[in-house]
Amino acid sequence: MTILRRAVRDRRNALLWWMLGLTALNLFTLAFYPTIRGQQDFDELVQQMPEALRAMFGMAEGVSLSSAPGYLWARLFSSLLTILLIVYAIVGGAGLVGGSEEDGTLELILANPVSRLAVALQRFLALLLLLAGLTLVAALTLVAMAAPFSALEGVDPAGLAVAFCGLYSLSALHASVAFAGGAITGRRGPGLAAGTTLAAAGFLAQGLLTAAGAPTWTRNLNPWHWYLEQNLLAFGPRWEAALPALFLAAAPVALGIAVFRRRDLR
Amino acid sequence: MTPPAVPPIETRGLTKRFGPLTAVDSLDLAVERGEVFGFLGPNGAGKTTTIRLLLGFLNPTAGCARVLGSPGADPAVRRRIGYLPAELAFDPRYTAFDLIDFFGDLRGGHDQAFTRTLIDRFQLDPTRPVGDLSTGNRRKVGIVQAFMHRPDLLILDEPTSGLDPLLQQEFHRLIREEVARGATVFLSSHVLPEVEALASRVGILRKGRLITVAAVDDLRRKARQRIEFFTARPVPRGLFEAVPGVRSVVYHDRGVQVLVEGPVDPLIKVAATLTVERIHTPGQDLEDLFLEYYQGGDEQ
Repeated sequence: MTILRRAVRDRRNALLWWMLGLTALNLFTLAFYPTIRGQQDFDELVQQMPEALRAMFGMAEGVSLSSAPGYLWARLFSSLLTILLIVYAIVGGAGLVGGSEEDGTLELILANPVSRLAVALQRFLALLLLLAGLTLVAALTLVAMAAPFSALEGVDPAGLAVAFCGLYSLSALHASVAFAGGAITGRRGPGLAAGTTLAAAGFLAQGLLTAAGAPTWTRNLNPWHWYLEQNLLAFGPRWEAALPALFLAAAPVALGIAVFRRRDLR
Repeated sequence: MTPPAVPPIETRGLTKRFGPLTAVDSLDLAVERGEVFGFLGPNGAGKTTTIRLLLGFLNPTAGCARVLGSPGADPAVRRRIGYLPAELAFDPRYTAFDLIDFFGDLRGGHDQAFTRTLIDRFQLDPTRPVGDLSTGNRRKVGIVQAFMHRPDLLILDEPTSGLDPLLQQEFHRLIREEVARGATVFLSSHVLPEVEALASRVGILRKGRLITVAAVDDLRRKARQRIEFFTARPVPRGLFEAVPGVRSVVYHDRGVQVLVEGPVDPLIKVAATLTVERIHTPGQDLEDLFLEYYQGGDEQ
């Protein structure tokens, strides 16, 4: 577990800044809520937006954007908070093998009595831990700071918990894809590209396919859809929002490690 | 421990191609226990690729490589290897202490007292981040990490590039001590005097092929000598060309420069007929011989 400990330690300082950033995001979002709360004309404005756009930003039929569940879902879970966590996951994942191989530091580590499997796996586990810490801080600060702004009114507690679990799972999936891109090629760029492609394609497809009324099975292929399909804060927990993406993350990790174990280092 | 019969480094038909480029070509090598083996070749000859094959960073296209009797990818065998790469890339945030702790943990412990001596000997400040260190100081960190667990086999790739002459001397002493303790050293270099000073045998690599493996003493015996005679009067043309062992003659106003292979006695006998004022013998080392190998003179 030396590699895991080291990987966590190496990223500790950056993580603290990220935690600070997400806390600030939560605070600003919450602080803005009282000015929106109960504004009917805001909802009317939203109704005039194209459906694809509404779907993309988590504005669902039957949930007012001026209510706490509608507002938080649109402002945080369907947009910035998710995107930031996914950026953290992608940048982290691409660096684990690809990045450190590219900057040359990996080779000296692999000259030690440690297998490539151990290095890759422990580093990915380290990123899962860091990601869990970051998600947890985002969740705790949101809940802790919500009261003065009455921003949890009408929010389903179990749904909120599942929303954060889903956020974590979706980020972990993106981390795994970025990790695989880096581990397969030995460079950071392809990892970033793989993760970003999944994020952009998944996010856009979620909005567009929903709006276009595409068959359910096509939408069900999209991990973003599992998470965003329905406002968890308003309608309560759905298991498929929380877990499948996390299990799915094992596949890119396994593939990345399988290739990394056999190929030449750069 | 490795049975004495198993050479610390052994390759058979080791070949590595990158696309159309053959970086290492059918390399057969056996490094014996307790020796310093000099691995010489110009830049781009395939020395580093060979080392990366030995350590299992690269898979051979053909043939095989074994270190201490196992493939280099085997973690257990790497515990007994110290590796100093030519290009040292450390995470710049590490201090030498961090790095020593981290690598020490990975290797299941290291000789703490010995590590402290190493830090003292190379005057390393272990508390500064590696990113703030000069090239030479970073090299010292590389040396300490390669030697600190007292490995059985040291694989050193251009070890003293960037070290000042005093520390190079210190480094040479360290290698001699480790060899006296029983370690084997694989020393890759393109700097001849270093290899000449340390190695008992050398292998010369050119364009991925091992051209020759020889004892340094033999090479020295075979090495050509350049001898310059400064004479009172110009030397008559044609005097030296027929002398046994003479390979080239250059006449100039104040004397003659002769390149001779093997014993110089016949040359000296002929030179005795001249009024010699001064003799100069530059390059009495192996440089010329190696240059010739490097340039492919052996193939004519």
